[in-house]
Amino acid sequence: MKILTIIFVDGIVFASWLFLVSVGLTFIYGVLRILNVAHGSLYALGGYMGASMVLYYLQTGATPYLTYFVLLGAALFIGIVAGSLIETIFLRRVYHREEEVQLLLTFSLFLILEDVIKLVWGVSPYFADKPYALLGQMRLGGIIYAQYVFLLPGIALASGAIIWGIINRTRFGKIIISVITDREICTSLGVNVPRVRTFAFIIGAILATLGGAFTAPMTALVPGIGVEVIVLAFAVVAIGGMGSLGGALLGSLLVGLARAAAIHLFPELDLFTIYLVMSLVLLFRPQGLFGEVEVRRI
Amino acid sequence: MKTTVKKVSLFGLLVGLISCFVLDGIAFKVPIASGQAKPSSPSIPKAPKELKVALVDFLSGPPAKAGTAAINAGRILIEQINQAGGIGGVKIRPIIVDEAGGVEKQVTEYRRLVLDEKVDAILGYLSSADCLAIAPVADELKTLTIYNGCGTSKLFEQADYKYVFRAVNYEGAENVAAALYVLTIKPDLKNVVGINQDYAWGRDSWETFDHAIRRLKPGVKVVETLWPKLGTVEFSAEISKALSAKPDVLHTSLWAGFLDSFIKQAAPRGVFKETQVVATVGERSIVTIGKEMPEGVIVGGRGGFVPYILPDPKANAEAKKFYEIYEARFGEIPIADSFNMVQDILAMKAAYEKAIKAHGRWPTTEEVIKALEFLQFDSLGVRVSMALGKGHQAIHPQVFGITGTQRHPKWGFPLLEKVKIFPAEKVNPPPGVKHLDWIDSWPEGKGP
Amino acid sequence: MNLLQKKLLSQSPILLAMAGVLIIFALLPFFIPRWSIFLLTVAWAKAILVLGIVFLLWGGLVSFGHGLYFAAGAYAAGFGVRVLGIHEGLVLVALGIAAGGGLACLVGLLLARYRGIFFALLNMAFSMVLYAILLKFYRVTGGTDGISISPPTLAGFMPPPEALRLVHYYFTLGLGILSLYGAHRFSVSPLGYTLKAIRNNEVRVEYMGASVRKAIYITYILSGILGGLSGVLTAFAIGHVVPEYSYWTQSAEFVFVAILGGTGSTFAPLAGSIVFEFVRNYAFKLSSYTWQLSLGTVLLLIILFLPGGLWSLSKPFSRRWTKWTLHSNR
Repeated sequence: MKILTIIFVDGIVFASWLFLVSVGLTFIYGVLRILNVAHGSLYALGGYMGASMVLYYLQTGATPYLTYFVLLGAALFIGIVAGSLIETIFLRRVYHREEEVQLLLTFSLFLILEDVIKLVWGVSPYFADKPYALLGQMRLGGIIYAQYVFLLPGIALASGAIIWGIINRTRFGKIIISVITDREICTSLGVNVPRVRTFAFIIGAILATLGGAFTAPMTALVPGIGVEVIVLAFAVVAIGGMGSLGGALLGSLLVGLARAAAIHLFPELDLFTIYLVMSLVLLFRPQGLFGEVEVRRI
Repeated sequence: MKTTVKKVSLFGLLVGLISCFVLDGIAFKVPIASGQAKPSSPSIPKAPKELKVALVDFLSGPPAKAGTAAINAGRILIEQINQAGGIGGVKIRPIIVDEAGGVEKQVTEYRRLVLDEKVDAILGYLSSADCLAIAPVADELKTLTIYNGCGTSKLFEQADYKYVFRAVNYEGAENVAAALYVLTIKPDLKNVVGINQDYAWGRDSWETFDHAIRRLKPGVKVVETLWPKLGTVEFSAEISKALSAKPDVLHTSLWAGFLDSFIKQAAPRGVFKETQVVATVGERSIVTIGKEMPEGVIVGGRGGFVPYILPDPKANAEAKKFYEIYEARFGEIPIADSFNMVQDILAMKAAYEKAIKAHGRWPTTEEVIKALEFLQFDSLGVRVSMALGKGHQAIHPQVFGITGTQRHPKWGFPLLEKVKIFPAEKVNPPPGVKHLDWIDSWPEGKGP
Repeated sequence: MNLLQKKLLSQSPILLAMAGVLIIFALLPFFIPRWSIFLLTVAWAKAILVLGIVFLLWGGLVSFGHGLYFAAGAYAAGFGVRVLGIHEGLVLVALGIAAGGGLACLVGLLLARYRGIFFALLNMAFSMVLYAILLKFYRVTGGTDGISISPPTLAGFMPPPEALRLVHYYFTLGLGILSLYGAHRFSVSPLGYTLKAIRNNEVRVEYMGASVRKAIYITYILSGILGGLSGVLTAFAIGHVVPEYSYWTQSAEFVFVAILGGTGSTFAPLAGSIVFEFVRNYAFKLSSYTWQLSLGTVLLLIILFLPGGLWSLSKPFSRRWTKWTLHSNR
């Protein structure tokens, strides 16, 4: 019984992390139809920015309880800056090109950002663990958890709710949906489509940087953390259906719980589970669980 | 417009490629390389203008602190040697290389160092994976290669190499010492969990400890073995699993930044209170984490070294001088990796000097190798003997201790208590015997 | 003149070009330093796989998982040496080709139905599954430590140590030229043209009566074979195989080289591969922390300003070449 609790807790925490990194990716794909390989770099940027801001903030001697807001602020800042720069300078030029070229462009951005991070923050690991240790402990399933990890599901749910709210309850959301449906008609109706796209990309970028910033206290920031994140995010997005928020949620839950179960019950399979689930879902339902089938144009 | 772009890019590409070759011809060096530019005028016949030695260690990523400490120590020592006239009057020119990037990259880089930079010797290598991959290439390219940081026992127990040496203890010594030591702290331990990285170093470390602890305390149970991937810095799943297994002792060979990350994630979850942690190479973390290092952690040093304990500045004047120079120059204390690199360079120096003396002229690589085999020399007061691996593997004392409440007056890190310095023969097998066989030959319940 | 003579004459431009390339690369080792020979060997070995990627690109498909076949070939050689004790290079090459081709036969059955982003992602998923297998089963595969491959004998003959790498270079060059020629024959064959038509408009090709699935499946198998061969040759050159051969960044690198060289000709992947290896080597040497930046920038510039890849720079020359060789045909 205890092991089930542990699997559940670990699974939910991991699923929240996966959701944060993949919901931005799926949102960007949904609106812009671009699979953003540089999403991993945005995650890393969020992490590094968050960690360095927290360390800087703690040096000033102020109360450590505000570090959570520092993380939030850092994520928003770098998300907006990086997101707008990437979209306006680079992505705009390739909207009319084929999918592969767009993918490769984002890959080249990923390569560039990896080294930019090394140049700005250096190559030694960053530890910003004060926020992690500050929130105390809790015993669940017989073992101790740092209560910080429960922040992640909270943030994931909040971001999910906010995105859902934006899309379904605001005028901007309606505009986004119409841009997704038919871009040309929107342009002829007077919608500023380029601006809508920029905003959409920024929103997706912020989701990635949030994931990075709030994960930073739980781990170490080292060069290359973006690499693994991308492929996991791709897997979740592919499973859930590209462009579907509900799919990202379901996909993260599926993969998170499956991985936690694998780690505790069949440790040899833990790396597998994600890609195996992805392969199986794609083989039987290539558009993902909630994805839409793309109609072939003749 | 398009054709102009094409013409410009073609032109730019050609200029770029040609300038690469030209720059290469002027011997462009890696920006972080340092060293003397003035060649010396030695008195030994057939001596080269300079001795080009590559120092390879991690300068980026989680192991960055360890590698940087090693390279820093290497620089200081080489400067000292050059100031005293060099080796046989020939000055050393170090070429610094970052070991990051993975095994394939390092193998390619090794070839580049030999074929492109034309180095005379290559020292260093912290990752056991790199050591194992490069050893056959070293023999193929016939280049003197002396490892120091990597500890895998597979190196000389699964193959013989002519051009490859290791100037520092391997994991066998550390894990045998760990098993002996932990029983002095927790004599009635019943179950053990291991968290080790899934590669040669982690697998070998665990295997040695497993054999040793079972031999010393028959009936001990291994409840769980966890194998995080090399490179991961996130251990929440492993910590959960280890905690739920409720072990008496947690063995880990995690090192440098990986161990730092593990400690920071594990401490808030009470790991250090619920179980006795044995970090076989935890000494670096004491220095890097400093004040936040938990109490009561059993810690050893990579290669046996722990700063201020071994090498002992109070017992040896050269050691004292080294500590002073290092601390004055870099503002921090040297750690095990620093002493590893020092020992490596001193091994090379001792071998060259012995060969020069024997032949009366500058020796060939093969003659240096002959001199290095079974050599005995002193490194900052530590007696080193190349006794194992047919004369290619060094043995020397190994330190273990447990972190206490007292802090170092100047640097603030926790001082070790109950320090034990194991002599080389106690933690290493006799020549020609594999260390696991040696452990299995101990009388049950008793040590070597 | 009879049919054979006619065929040879029509092929003469390409045969001439191949012969030219062969002669240039055969003579090159006498003018360049040893280290560059090593880089060239690796560049040729990897170019073979990139040919496979270019085939798929002709069909409008991108694969972000061809590291799967690269690793399959490399590890086939690795296991051949470690488990089966085989030290003969030709046998290991055959093993690598069989591994790559066999795997492609299986995987291609599933994948030939997919297009676009799903094709790319599914390929990636399979390559990551292989990565996970190679990583996790430490006792069998050596995990991240990988498997060492000592230089093999070639047709039973072990070259002397000083000439070893040179002989391997010529071996790789030979197989590379054969692959290039095969690729050219493929590109002018009916299957090759069908493939290019598929990229244009798949439905029309079906209505024409050609089997789209068969075309893609066969192309996929060919790319798998080339991938396996490439893996073995790279393993020989570097002497060590690691699970990272199957990681997505390795596959992305191959696609990078394909785009860098361009898809316009069978020589393009070779040009792209050589430029990539050399630029990467010098970028790393100049500044080991910004080489990814340099490569990323190069790719960015190519995508934005030179969409046909580097090979499109040769357009003016290739036009003259065609005119000159066509003249000799009259």
